[in-house]
Amino acid sequence: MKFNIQCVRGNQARLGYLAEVGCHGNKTLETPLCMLYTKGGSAPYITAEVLKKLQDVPSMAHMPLNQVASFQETIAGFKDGIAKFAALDNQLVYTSNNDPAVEVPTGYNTKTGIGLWGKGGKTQLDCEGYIQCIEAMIPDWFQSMSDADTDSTSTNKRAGKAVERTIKFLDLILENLKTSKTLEKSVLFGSIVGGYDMGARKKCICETVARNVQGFVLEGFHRLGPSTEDFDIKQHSDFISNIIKLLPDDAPRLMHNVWRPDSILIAIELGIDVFDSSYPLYMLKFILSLGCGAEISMLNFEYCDLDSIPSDCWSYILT
Amino acid sequence: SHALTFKVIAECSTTKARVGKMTLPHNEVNTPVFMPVGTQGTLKSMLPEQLKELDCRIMLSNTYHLGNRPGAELLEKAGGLHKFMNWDRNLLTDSGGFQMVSLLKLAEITEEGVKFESPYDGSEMMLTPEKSIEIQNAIGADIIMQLDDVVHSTTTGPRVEEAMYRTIRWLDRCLKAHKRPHDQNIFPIVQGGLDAELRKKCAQELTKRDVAGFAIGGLSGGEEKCYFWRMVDVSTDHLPSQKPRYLMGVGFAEDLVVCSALGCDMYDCVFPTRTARFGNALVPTGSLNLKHKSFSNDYRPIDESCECSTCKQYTRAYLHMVAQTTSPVTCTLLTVHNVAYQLNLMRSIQNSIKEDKFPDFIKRFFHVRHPDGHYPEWAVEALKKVNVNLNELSHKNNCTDSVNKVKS
Ligand SMILES: [Zn+2]
Ligand SMILES: [Zn+2]
Repeated sequence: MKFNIQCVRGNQARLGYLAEVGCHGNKTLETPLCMLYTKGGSAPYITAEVLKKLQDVPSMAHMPLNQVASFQETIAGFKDGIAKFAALDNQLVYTSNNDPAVEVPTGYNTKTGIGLWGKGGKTQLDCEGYIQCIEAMIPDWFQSMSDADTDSTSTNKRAGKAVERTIKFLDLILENLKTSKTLEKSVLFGSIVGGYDMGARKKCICETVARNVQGFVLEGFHRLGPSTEDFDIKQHSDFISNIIKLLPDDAPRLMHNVWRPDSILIAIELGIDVFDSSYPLYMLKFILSLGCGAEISMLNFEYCDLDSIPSDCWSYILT
Repeated sequence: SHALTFKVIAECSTTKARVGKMTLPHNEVNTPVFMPVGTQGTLKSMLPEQLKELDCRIMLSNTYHLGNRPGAELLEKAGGLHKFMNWDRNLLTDSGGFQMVSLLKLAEITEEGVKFESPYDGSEMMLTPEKSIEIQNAIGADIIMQLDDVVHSTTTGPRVEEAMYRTIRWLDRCLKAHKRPHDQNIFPIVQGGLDAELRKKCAQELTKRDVAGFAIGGLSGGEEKCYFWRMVDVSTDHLPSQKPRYLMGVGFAEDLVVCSALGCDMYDCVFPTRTARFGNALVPTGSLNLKHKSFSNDYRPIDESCECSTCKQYTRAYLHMVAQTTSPVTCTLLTVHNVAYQLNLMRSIQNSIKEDKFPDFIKRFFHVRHPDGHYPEWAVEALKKVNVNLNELSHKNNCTDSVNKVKS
């Protein structure tokens, strides 16, 4: 993968593009980049057929591992990876460990592995199991296994443990990767964890940068899920900025759960390049939850000005 | 003259089945036809564009739901339902009565109309034949239904007769209230419960009115199948052959095949879309529940011979996975396939009638679904009535006996 930065504006805001990514040598991706959020490999409610009809669909599909970890055998049996399995062969695929839209239960990571929660319950993965899972999915990008089970209430001791584990996972994964033919072209993103302990963060960055990774995922600020809508990136902007200053310039930086448009602008200013898009689904669920009873109403039509809605959108609204 | 012309272009030489070309304001429809049901103006989880790609030419919408939301006024302001939902093909709306009686506990039927309590503010409201037509005129569907007096299909006694005659009186009120005969067609509804004499009487009365087509109602509500097919049979016998016959609420594949043999031309049912929501895919052998573990390593499409976008792009294993993860795309993928299955089935029926090979088609169809030869008794009987012998060595006909007992 090649990452070219065209210009840096303001503090750290970068305009760039990614080329020769994973198995899609001919594709370039412009950054800042928003990924297509998926559930079980498909955009929520949207089939591959309908996706083709939409404009400006992000080229990078984001497929959280926890959703499909328990279907590893099913995906592996298909042999050609999750993109083709999900009929999104034209998309690039990024796998994160967890689904940004769902809160991660705390306390299930260990020295030897992590707990991933899907619809069918928990899947415990050690590094070997993790690599098997990634080999089944064959993503273009994947996030290194990590212990991101920290938030603002975590002690420095816990943050330090998170870093220790995450670096150990990274070493084992790099070891496993050496012999993996399937993942030859896949790009590994190192996970930067360590809660709100700058010492731990520094250590994590030092160790990760020293290893062979091509991008970074900043996490461990919260436990994902709907409550992160209120995660105030502004409040933590100095802390995040100091983390980013330690990262090399020439690698893309990804951060999950930066949802609200105003937060995204701040994150771009801080130097984040890649974002997830689980927010629209979350917003849709929120709007649906406002309706009452079994029949769901998204809009009160008495106040609805028909002229302001393009006619193509009406049927979506009614669905 | 009506905003509908119907031409029978082929007839089966053995059964009562026929192929028709029905021309409506928004395009031509080949019959026998299955109409997918879009409750609130849209077929759940499918775009109008996708329906067009499956060559769906007519769909149904529920007046009751549309009347509540977005409401007739707004629909009129939007230029009718066609524009509102971005569907430039044909639409059919029901009268709203059936849904009121089945959805609202306090619905009560008087000569004036269906009285009910508003589900919103508890006030007393009335759906009259005139009101139903007024709403349907605002919605603007190509075919609209008269308000009928609905009784449960297993009701017996004088209530059935009362409902039948009231339905005829309400038809006259509907026809009088109709404001758009130039581009909308009212279909009357044959009622009469499970009484063949009442059905015949009703069909004969309705036929005296100047209408473009007919519906057969009050069936498919849980009555025994041996009564069901007899009521369909007697109704088609007494309806004019040069007009379309719409059998309401019917959509199981076996029912579609048998009732087409009995001379029905149009069908609607929520079953194909509803069953999709439970992870079921319709196939020639019946249906597959994709949540079942056996599909976790089945990398074939739902149906090798299906041309739908789901079958062309996705495997059973993938559908199994998304069904288990309750991904909201599952319903969409299965709905597309199930609607495609229904429309394909109807096309196969049409083609076999045109080639005058419908009896062979029926036999093959049933054999694929019941390779053990245990055909449903009602289907064997119904098909025998129209000269198709599904099984020379069919099981004993208990069904006939029980019908005769009820009559005597
Ligand atoms: Zn829109
Ligand atoms: Zn299909």
